[in-house]
Amino acid sequence: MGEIVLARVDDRLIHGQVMTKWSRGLGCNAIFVIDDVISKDPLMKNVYSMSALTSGLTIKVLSVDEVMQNWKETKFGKYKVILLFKNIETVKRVVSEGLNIQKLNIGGISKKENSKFVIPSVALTKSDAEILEELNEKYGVEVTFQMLPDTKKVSLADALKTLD
Amino acid sequence: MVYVLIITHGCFGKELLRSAELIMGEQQDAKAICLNLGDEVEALRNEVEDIIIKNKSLNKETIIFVDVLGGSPSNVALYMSNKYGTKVITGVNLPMLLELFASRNTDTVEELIDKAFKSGIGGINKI
Repeated sequence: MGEIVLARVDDRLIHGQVMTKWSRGLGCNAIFVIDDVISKDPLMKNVYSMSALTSGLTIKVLSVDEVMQNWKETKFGKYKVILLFKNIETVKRVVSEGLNIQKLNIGGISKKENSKFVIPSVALTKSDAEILEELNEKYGVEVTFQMLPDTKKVSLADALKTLD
Repeated sequence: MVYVLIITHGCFGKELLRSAELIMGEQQDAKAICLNLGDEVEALRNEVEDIIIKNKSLNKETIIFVDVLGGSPSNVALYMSNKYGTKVITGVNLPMLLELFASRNTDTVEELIDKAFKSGIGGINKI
């Protein structure tokens, strides 16, 4: 049975911070990007696969259906995996379908018109916040906001105060 | 002449280009783009794509140099590589740029890539 060493929302998905900071120290051997749009885009799939060419990590770009199938059939097998999501809605979908995410790191969401920064790399909308509250209250997911393993970690409760 | 595009985290690439020009003299068809904290990767991709398309329309080849494989600059470069066949070199350093600027009036893109790659590695010594 595999292990989810980190579940992270980061709209840049695989990039410098993930490859140089998060993927080390957690003892992971795989990164799964979970996104319905990118999983159907051969070009972007290839970009993410190539980006980890020399890292020794297994990279998969999966749709929600594919990741759930993988989870149900093998519990991720031999993989100690970092799950990367482009957005919070996708996390809610996999959690509500039974993927066992206990802790969720929100690391990078770029600024939109109606969003507010809760840490320098994450800007949340009201609807993002509502989904995170639901993940926490209904599914017991511990949500924290942190860009890098050694930068300031903000709790969901504190982040929500920033939005009020 | 081959167009040189350098993309890095922060303005390392911009300074690297200035350092290369200090040694080789001012360069035409060379540009460095900084990706800073808070910058949109999407905007970077559009900027780079515009450069590639413009160069193509002028029958000019582009080589993209980036700092680290797996970073956002390299993701943008790999996107161009997949979409337009643009050549990409990661781990950009001064020796490879000097070699490239010295040879790009005479050599083909393939030769340049090869020379830059070798000079980049050859420029690293343990003494």
